[in-house]
Amino acid sequence: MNAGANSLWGDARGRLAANRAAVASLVLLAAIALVCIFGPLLGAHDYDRVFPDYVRAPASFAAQPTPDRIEPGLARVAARLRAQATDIAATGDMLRVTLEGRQPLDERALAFFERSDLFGPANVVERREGGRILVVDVALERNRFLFGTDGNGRDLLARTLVAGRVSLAIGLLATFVAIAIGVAYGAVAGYFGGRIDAAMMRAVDVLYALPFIFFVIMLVVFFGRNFVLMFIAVGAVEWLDMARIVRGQTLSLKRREFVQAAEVLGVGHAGILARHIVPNTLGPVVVYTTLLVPKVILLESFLSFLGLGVQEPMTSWGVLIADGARNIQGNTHLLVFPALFLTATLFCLNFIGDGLRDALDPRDR
Amino acid sequence: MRSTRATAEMEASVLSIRDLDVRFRTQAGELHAVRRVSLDIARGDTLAIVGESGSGKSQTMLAALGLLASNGIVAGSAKLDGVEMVGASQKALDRLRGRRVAMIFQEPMTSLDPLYTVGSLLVTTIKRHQGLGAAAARAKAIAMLARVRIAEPEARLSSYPHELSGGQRQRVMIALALANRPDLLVADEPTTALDVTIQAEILELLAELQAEMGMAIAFITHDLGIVRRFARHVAVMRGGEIVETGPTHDVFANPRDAYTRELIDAEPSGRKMPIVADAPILLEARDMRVHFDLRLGFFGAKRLAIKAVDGVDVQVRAGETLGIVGESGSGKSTLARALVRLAPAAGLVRFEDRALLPLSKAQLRPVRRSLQLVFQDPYGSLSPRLTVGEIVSEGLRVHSPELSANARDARAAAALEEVRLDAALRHRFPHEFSGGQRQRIAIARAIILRPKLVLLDEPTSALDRSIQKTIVELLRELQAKHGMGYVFISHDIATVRAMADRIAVMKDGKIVEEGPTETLLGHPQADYTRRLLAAAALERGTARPI
Repeated sequence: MNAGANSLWGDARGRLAANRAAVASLVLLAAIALVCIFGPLLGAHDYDRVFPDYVRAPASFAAQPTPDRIEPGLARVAARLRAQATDIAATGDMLRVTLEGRQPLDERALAFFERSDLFGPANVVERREGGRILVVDVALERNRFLFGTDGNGRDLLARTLVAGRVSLAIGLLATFVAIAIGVAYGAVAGYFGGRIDAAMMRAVDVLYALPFIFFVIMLVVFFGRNFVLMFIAVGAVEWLDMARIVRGQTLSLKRREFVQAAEVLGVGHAGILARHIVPNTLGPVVVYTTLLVPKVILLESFLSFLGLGVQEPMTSWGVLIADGARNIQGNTHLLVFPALFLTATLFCLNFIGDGLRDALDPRDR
Repeated sequence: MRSTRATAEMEASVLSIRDLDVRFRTQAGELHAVRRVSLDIARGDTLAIVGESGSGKSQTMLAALGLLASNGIVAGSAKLDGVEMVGASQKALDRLRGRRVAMIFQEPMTSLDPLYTVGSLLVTTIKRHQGLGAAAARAKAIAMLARVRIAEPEARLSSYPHELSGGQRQRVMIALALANRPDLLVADEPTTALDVTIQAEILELLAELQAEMGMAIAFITHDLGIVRRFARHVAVMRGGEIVETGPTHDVFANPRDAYTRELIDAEPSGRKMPIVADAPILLEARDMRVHFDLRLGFFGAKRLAIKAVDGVDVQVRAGETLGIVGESGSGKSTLARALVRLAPAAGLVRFEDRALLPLSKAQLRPVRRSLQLVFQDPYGSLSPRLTVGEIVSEGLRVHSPELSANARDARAAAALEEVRLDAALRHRFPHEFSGGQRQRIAIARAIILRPKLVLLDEPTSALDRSIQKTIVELLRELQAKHGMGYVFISHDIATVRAMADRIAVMKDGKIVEEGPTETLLGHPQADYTRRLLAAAALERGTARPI
């Protein structure tokens, strides 16, 4: 297609670019998507790594361990060595600690320092009283949990980003599936009309009548819990709306003169559908897509909330929010951050949908 | 001396527009629709504002009445009886509009609110502006409907707009507009959407009412025939400016501006060259019938058969043009559609040697190459999501699948050049073209297959007069070059006269008269043909002025 041509889509692009809310939403959505895709690769922590010492750590910019965590942490390690920690002196990321036990201390047990999430390896600086008292230098292992950690001590930032991958993937893929089926089905039903239309749309009505949750539970019973099942379940339900929208569009389009002109030229059914009907339904389809993606994400959240969705340790925004909702007293960060990402995404998609609808509206063209 | 006369003129004029400027803010930038227009309409006078679509004639009056779309910016002055309208408050405008100035629009279908009865529309307007009680207002409404010659006005009060015909709706609009005896009536193409015979009636009605009530009329139109016959003064607009203004008679007798001259000469002229006498018969239809079964009521209990085409015989020879004339609803478009099997037909249709009606879709395909249809509406008949090149070459995709994409593109370019369009424009989309250009594209799409017969369903009626003329010339030229036969369907006698060898007049699904063009137009036999011709003569302004 000629690049200089001022097509309908080019026109729409110009209008969309003039819509500030839509452009800001596009930028923010792209940022969220990029962070979700590449963030976990760059991030310090794996989404499934457990930090037993940092269970439900609050969100903070400060590097962990915070000073108030050091003493209890030391006490815990010292207890394993059957010793007591005294004379704690911190210089930067190094600690000098005096460990004092009743019997000479087993220096191999100093490995407990390294196993803790708080400390690095320990070096013995001085041995006193035949090894009963050890002065050791311990490095602090610095960790940052910007979003805090969850009930199992996993980094919430890493989990939120990984959850974003899952939610966005389901949102986009299930939407794509729904649109592909819905457009084809609706266009065929609307174009051929009559009995074919009636039969096809009654089938849609039957599927509409199926309770969604019941349907999902049935799928889970038959096939077990499976990530792919989500796509199938959501896609199998959401195309119904699309089919109805496209059918309605097609019904009015097929009476338009350009379709009749194609008929007079001798263009066959497939050609008319592919070249004249489907391209002209794309305006509403694009708009509906942007509304469908958030709907699907919400649906996935809902299923995951019920425990029918993705499985631990894999996660999605819906799972995280469900978890956060359970811990809302005292650990609000568990709810706030995933919810923030989800709502931002939904808002963006809705604004983009609104913007697209306005941009593609031919009324004041 | 001169200045006092100027003031006197100012006082005498109902509407005085000075340096009116209208701009629209659009996506593509600012559109300067009206450029410093000055106009005066004297009390009781009729001023016609003439111009083609896009000339700013409607926008000038809308701006003067404060009715512009929200993205319009107005500058200058428009005084109604000395009261400034530009920049006046909504409240002040509401007081004036409806009482001092009223407006009627082109489309009587959409300008009446479908949810209210004629009576409630009329009574509300009368009560609001004249402060009458319900009974008095009702009596007035009945009198008003009688005045616009609506039969059984009392019964009509409880009718909804959709129960009325187009002409009746326009009469109701006029009754609504004149109910409060305005000083000025703005009529924006009030007859364009109507059939010729009804047009004539509406114009006569307006003239009578003006004589009776003495209001001034600003008549916006693109049709010079109406102007000549109806208006005392005329202002010709082009590109947002007034190019010529003066008494109608003077302007028509001595047009000073080249554009005015062009407009006056815009009627299609010339005649088609006759065909050879023994040309083979291309298309023959005998006793063709198209009946639609309407099912009304629950489960289609009531049945109503509409006989859109009822036993029609037509015959077209190679290279011949058959004109089909008739008013809307006469079945002429349905006939064309049935000939290409877009509508279900019964009877016999023979194209060359094959009977068309029994053919299956696949069997029909090779015939379609030689039998093409051009639609009336150049906006609806081009797919908005395809480029012009793709649209034009679509037939080749079907009928010459052996052609490569490049070869198709070259053929499309050639076809576009044949209809006098720049072939470089073939990568653009239809919405970037004007109505006339779109109709050329539609013609290119039909002729790229080198058809033997093209059905032209009102190909010029959605276009401005001067563009109609060029399309008619183009069609004649293509016919002379390729020897195609045409079936030319139109309600416009002048265009058909310039195109056709023979004319068939249709009414209510039947052909009432048929004959060679000059014979039929010169000596019409059927009563209906005479009425049609009389109305058309009025429209063209060859008849006496009112």
